[in-house]
Amino acid sequence: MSGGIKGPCPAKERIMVCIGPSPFSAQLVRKAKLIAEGLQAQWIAVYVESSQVFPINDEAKGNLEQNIRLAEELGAEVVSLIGDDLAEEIIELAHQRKVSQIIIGKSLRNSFRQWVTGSIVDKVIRLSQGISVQVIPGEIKEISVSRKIYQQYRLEEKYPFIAAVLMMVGLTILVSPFRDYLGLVNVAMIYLLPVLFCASNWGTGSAVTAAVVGVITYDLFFVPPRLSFTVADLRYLISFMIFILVAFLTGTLSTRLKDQVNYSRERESQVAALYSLSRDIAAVASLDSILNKIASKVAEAVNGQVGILMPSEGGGIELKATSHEDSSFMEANERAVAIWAFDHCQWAGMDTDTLSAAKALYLPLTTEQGVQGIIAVRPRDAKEGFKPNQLRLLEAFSVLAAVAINRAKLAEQARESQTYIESERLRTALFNSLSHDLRTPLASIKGAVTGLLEGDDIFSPDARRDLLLTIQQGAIRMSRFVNNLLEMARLESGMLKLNKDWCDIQDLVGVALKHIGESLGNRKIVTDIPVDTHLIKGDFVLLEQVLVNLLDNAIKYSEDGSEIRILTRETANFMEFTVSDKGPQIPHEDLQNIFKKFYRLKTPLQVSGSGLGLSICKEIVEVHGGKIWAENNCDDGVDIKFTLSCEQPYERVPFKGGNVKYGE
Amino acid sequence: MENKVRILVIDDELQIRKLLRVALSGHGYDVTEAPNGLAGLNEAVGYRPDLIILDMGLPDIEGVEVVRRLREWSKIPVIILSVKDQEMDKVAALDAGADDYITKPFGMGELLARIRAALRHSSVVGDEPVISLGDLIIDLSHRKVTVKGLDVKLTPTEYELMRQLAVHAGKVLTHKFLLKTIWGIPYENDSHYLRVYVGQLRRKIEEDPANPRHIITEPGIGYRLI
Repeated sequence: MSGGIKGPCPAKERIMVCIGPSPFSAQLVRKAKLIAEGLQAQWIAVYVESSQVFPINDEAKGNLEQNIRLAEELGAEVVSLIGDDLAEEIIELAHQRKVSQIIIGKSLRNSFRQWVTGSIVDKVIRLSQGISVQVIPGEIKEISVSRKIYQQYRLEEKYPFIAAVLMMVGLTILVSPFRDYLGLVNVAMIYLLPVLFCASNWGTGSAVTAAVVGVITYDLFFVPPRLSFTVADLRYLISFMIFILVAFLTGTLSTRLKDQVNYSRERESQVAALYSLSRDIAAVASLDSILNKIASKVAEAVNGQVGILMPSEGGGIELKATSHEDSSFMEANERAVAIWAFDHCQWAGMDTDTLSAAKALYLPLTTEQGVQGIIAVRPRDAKEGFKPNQLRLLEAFSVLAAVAINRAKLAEQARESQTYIESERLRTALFNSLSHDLRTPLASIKGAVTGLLEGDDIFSPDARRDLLLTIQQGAIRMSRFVNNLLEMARLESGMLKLNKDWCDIQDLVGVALKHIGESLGNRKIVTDIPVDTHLIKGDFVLLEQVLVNLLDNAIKYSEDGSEIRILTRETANFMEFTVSDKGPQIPHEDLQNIFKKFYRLKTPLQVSGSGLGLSICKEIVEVHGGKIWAENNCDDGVDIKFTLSCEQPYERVPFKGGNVKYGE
Repeated sequence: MENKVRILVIDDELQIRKLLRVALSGHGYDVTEAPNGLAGLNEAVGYRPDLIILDMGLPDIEGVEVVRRLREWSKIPVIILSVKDQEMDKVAALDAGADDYITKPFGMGELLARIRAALRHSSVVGDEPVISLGDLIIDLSHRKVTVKGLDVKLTPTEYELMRQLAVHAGKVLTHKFLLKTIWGIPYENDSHYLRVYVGQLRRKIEEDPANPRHIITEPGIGYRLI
C-alpha cells in the first residue's frame, strides 16, 4: 500500500470525509483529496458501521471496500468507527482529531430511511460546533428500497413462505370451531402469533406472506359477511393494514437483529483469529516457526492455502513456509506476480488491479525497514474469490506478520552480536593471558640459560644450581599453562571423547594429591571419604584434572599451613565432592563469575595463573552431566562443590583366579 | 670389559634425539638414533638394541604398528614416548606389546627409572623368587607377602594381583592385561573388579592407602608397583 502524505503539516488544517457503501463516496474521496492537497492538509476518511445501515448486502460491502482502498491509495488515513448514531460518532472523531473541515455527501442514505429517521447531514451540521461542513450533492442514483427488498427476497429460500401459508391455513382450521366462544377480537390476536413466529425465525418476507394470508383467511372465515371478500365494516380495513404493518416491522427488526448478530460474530471470530495469531507468535523466537504459524493460522482464518515467500540470499524470493503441502505458489507465473508485489510494495494477484489473472493474492509484508516478504493466499474456492471482510482480515494479518518477522530478525541480530561480543572478550583475554603467562616464565628461562652459558665460570655450584632450578620452574609453569590452554581448547572443540570407566574415588584423590606434589607446602590435607563409597563412572584422567585444579585453586588462595579438606557425600542419585579451603571468601556476585574463562577475582593476594582452572573444571563436570558451584562456608573459607551422577551399582565382584599368560 | 647396554631412539624430533643421546650416554648407555618408523625397524634388525625408545608421533607409520611389527620377531623391551591426553594410543601400544611409557615433557630421572625397570625384566632368566621394595617384600616361592616384617593375609585373588604387579615391578600393567590375566578373557572389560581389588590390596599393604607408595595408579592406563 502506498504511504500517506508524510512529513510535517505546514497548515493546521485537517480534513475529514465521510464515506459509505454508495458509489458516490468515491467521488467524495476524490474531492476531499483535491481539497486536502490544496490546503496542504492531512485528511481522514471515516466510515461508520452502525446498525442503522443494516441490512447491508454483499454488493454494498464490496463498494465500501473499494472506497476504503481508494481513500488509502490517495493518501488518507482511514478510520472505522462502530456506533449507532452516525452523526454523533463523526462529530466526536472530528473533535478528537482536531478536524477543521468535514466533507459529507447529501444523499448518504436512501431517501426512504432519511424520511423516517432524519437526515444525518442535518444532524452533523447541527452538532458541528465550529467545524466547517461542506455538503456535496449526490448525482448518482441510490439503490432504492424496493430493489433492496427484492434482492433480499432472492436470497431467502422458498421454504419459509410455504410454512407461513401452511401455518395460517392450519390455524384457521383449528380456530374456526371456537370462533363464537373466542370472539373476533381474540381471533385477530391469535392470528398475530404465526406472523410473529415467522418474523422472528424467517424474516420480513415470510412474515408479510403470513400476514397477507392471515388477512385473507380472517376476512374469508371470520369477518362478516363470511366466505366472501367484501367487508361489511370498513373499520376492519384499519385492522388489516395494521396487521400487515406489524408483520412488516417485526420481520424487519428480526432480520436486522439476526444480521447484526451474524456480523458481530464474524467480526469477533476475525478478531479472535488475529489475537490468537499474535499470541502464538509473541512467544516464539525462531523465524521459521513464526512463518509456519502465520501460514497455518491465516489459512485457517480465511479458509484457503497460504504461502510465505521471503527474499533469498542471492536475490529473488523463495518459499519459506506453506500451510499445506501444495507449492504451486512457486510456479513461474505465480512467482512473477509475487516478485512484482515485492518490488512495488503493493497488493497484486486475484481481486486486485494488478495481474488479476493470478491464482492467488499476494500481499507484501512491510515495516519501516522495508518489505520483509510476501504472503500469498489462495482461496479454497477459486471461483468465489475473497469476500471484502476477508480482505480486511488479510491486511490485518499481513501487518501482524510483518511485525513478527521483523522482530524475529532483530532478535537474531541481537543474539549474534551478543555472541560476537563474548568471543571478542575471550579473544582479548586470551591474548593478554598468552602474552603475560607464557612470556614471563620464558623470560626467566632465557635469562638463566644465557647467564649460565655466557658467565659459567663466575657462578658457584650453588648459584649455578639456583639458576638451573629457575629454569626448571619456568618450564613447569609454561607446561602447566600450555596444558590448561590445550585442555580448554579440547573441551570446547567438542572433539572430546569421554573415556568413561569405573573410578575409585580414593584413588582419584590420591593421584590428584600426588600430582600437586610440593606446591602443597605445609598445608594439611584432610580427606573424608567413607570406605564403602561406591565406584563412579567417569573419565579418570579428566576427573583427576578437576581435583587437581580445585586443589591448585585452594592452595593459591589459602595461607601456607592452613587446612584443605576433601570430602565426598553419596546419595541415591549422585556423588557430591567438596574441596574446602580457609582462604578469603568470595563476594556474592562473583560466586558464579569465577567459573568463567579468564576470570580472575579482584583480590589483594598475589595470585598467578591463567584464570582457566575453574572453567576447565566446569566444562569437565558438565560434560559428565554434573553441576559445580562455589559457596562461602561457615569456617570463613570457600567450598567448591561438584556432583556426578551415580550409575547403577555394579554386580558383586566374584572371587576368581584366571590362568591366561601374558600375551607373547 | 662389560658391553654397554644398547639403546635405540626412534623419534622424528632432532632436539629430542640429541637430548636423549647426550643424557643416556652420560649414564653409560650406547645410543643409536632413527628418524622414522621404517628406519627404526631396520635399525632394530641391524643394531640389535637392548631397549628401544619409540616416539608415538612418527611421520610414516603409527607407533602402535611399529610395536606390532617389532613383536612379530623380537622381545626387545620398548618404552613409548607420548604426550598427555593420548591415553587410548598408549593403552593400545602397551596392549600390543610395549613395556612402558613416558609422557612428554618428562623428567630425566623418571625415564632412567623406567629404562632400568624394563631392562631388568628382560635380562632376568627365570623369575626372581623374592621381590623386595622397601618395606614391602613379596616372596613368590613361599607365596608370602610381608609389610614391615609383618605377614599380610591375602585372599587368592588379592595374592594373584600382588604377584602380577610384583613380577612386573617397575613396569606399567594395563587394566586389560590385569583383568585378562587374573580373571580371564571374558572379564577383560569388567574394570570394577580391578578397582575394588586394588583398593582392598592397598588397604592391606600401604601405610596410607589414600596416599599409596607402592601401587601407583597410572590414570587411564593401569597400575605400576614400585
